Amino acid sequence: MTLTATKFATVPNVAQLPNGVRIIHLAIPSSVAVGVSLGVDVGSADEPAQWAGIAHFLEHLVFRGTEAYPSSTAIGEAVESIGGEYNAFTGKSYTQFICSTPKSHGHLSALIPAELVARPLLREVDVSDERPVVLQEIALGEDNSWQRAIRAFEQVMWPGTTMAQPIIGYVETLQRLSARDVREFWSAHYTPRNTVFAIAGDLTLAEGVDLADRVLGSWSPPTSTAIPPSVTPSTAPSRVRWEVMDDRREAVFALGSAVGPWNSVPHGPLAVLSTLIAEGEGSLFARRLVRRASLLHQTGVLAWLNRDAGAFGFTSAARPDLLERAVAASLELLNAQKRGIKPSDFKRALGYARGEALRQWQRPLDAATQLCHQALMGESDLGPDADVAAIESVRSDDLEALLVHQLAKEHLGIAIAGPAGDEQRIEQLLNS
Amino acid sequence: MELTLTQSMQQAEARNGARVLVTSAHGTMAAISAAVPCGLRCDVDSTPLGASVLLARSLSLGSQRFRSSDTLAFAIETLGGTFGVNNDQDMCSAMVTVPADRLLAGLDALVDLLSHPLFPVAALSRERRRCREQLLASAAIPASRAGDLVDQLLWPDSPIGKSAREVARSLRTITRDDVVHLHSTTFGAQGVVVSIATPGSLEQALDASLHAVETWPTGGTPNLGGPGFGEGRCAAAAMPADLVYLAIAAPAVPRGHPDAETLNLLAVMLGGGTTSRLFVEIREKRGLCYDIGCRFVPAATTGAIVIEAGVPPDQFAPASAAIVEQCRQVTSTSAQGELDRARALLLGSLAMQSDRPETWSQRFCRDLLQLNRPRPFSELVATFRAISLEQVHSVAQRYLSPEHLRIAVAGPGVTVRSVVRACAQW
Repeated sequence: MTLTATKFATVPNVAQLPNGVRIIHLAIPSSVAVGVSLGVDVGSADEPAQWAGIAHFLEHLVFRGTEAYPSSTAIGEAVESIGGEYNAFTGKSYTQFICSTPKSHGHLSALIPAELVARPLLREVDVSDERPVVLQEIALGEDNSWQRAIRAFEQVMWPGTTMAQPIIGYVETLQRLSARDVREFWSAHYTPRNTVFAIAGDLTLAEGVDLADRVLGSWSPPTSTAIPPSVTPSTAPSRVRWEVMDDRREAVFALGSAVGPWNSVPHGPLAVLSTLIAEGEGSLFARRLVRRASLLHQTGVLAWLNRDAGAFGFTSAARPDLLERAVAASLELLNAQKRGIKPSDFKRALGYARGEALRQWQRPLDAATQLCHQALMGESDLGPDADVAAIESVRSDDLEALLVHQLAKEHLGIAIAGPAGDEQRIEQLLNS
Repeated sequence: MELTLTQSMQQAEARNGARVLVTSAHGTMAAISAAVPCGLRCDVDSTPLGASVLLARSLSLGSQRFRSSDTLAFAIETLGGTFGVNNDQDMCSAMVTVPADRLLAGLDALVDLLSHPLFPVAALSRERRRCREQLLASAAIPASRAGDLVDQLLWPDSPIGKSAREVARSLRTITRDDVVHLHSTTFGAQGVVVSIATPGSLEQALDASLHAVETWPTGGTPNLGGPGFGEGRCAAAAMPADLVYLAIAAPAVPRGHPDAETLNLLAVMLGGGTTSRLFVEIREKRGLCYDIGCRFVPAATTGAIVIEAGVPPDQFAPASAAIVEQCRQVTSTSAQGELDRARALLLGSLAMQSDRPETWSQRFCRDLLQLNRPRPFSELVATFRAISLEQVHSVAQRYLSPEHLRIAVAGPGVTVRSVVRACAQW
């Protein structure tokens, strides 16, 4: 018996408003929701040292009130009373504001992010009200071993650069930030030319452009000059960092290497390599290190690819007393792949990566977020078809080359969060 | 607000009693869910605590047609699919997502791993070890520990109230025979539900699923009563952390109870969105936490309302008092606008989740298993619209008054005595 299925073929459209806002549109026929992501080309890597954490703090503050919705409750009521959802997140090199509504209220999915980005109030009282919330967020991160390992991994990968600064900043810098600092940062970076409006759903390009124009067409703020990014001198570069959490019964580690900026990275091969090594139940780490050798509890991929620099590796959790063996076995397995990848492993990885590419474009909000991300990275091949084509063109040799060049032992670094252990021994393993 | 969703649906029962349901989805992927009534609450009498957990985790270690976990993983993932098996208080569920034109392959694999598992000795032994280690690791995380403690307060005499540590301890003694026995007594075809959401032909999917389940052996299905609630009110675990993690809970009702959907709305009003009372009062006004949430957690035979937050150690007493004050106030001061918003949020979110096939394949699977019928979106809209503010107040008074609340706290320096002192301020 053959089953019928709808064809998946979608190429995004690109347009621009007269003020410079870039528009990316993707039609997803029959979808219930409309999703919008409004991305601004500024993240924590663009911060001066004395303002570490300001990009993320600003992302929080805009939710305290805008011209049309002067309080956080007013914003929330507007979205939630029609069953919508909204959020935002700050990265190393961009900030995205996202909103999704049922398509009958598509206008709101565009309006809310536009209000947050273009017309926030940024009052003194907002700063004093929001500061303790972000301080609690820092504390929450300190209690999370996965977050601690990843933050430490950033310091291993990009030592002495603004990329190594935590996105959330430091308690000390946050305590000092004023509303004036935040307004200055906002006016320097939140400009139409720095902004991408991505929209996905069951609507036409003309409808998408019309929505963007209605909410952002008249946005033409005075521009100011940004303070250049800088970094606080930190500890000496090291290939191993250990975040001690003695009370935990699991050690989390991130193992990998720095890769170049977004536009220098071969995305198709990297996606397939990810699935070959650590994504899915059939990945090498899952089969051999989790299920067969019982060295890892779980494993995943850390592909943090940014505008100016990236990192690629694997996150895993192990019993603390097995950590050294788990790291050694992970390295050995990676090395073995450099000598040749089994055809069946490659075939599985290719199929799984293709499926993942399809899955991440299903929901309009996910699609808009992904489109916005790609556009902010300067990607020219946007959308699901390009993603799938990039994966389908990958050959086994591409992966072996990536392993040899990107994951060479001299490039590898590791960050661990868990009970204290022998740091030197871990460094020896990396060098061996 | 007018919210509609076009849902086509077909269902049938196989000769062996297995029930199948197919529903429409859009896009390119299909989701196949299957569930059997074998959850943690089945770990009673001669079944050791944790046997259902180990059983669920061992299903994907190999089956009659896919002899090992590797074979199974390759069969599904090479097609671009994913699979996973979970268990909760009531049921063991598995789900496969595949490109819609590979539905048959995904369906065959899913049915085989649930109906004809091999439970290979060596692989099962390794899985038991991993499961124990993960449970112990989870018990060392303060937020998880607070959740564990509040479950113990709610259901001290039931397997569903046992802590991760207790389950881990018990897992040591569980044999392959225990797992095989539990499978034979709970995974019978007459208790099985398979639910598919696909953009393809429903007729073809229904035929295929009936064909796939016809070799599912008949066997036992559990018939268990609901657990009673405990009388304990406070629990604490001192653990190093930057925050203190609170879990405040009230006994509630099972899925399908006449109060269930009102409690669902009440939980959203209290802590389900950024306009909810707890979010506004505890986070936005007082800055006491980064995140706070309230959930109604219904199961087949019991249920609870649970509020969770992480707060600064020196603020846990005022924070818990402020949370309880909101629980008290919602019983009388909540307004029609809050109810309307909670209703819109629940329904809008559900409608928008329909853009992924997993949403309705999983919902219908659980509905069929626990309520014996699927509840389409139109029925949920009608149910929620019929709930009045008076009903919300009445339910809040009956379930959320302070004398019903339990509190568990995990974090630096906390003791049962300090929690009892905090409760005295309520």
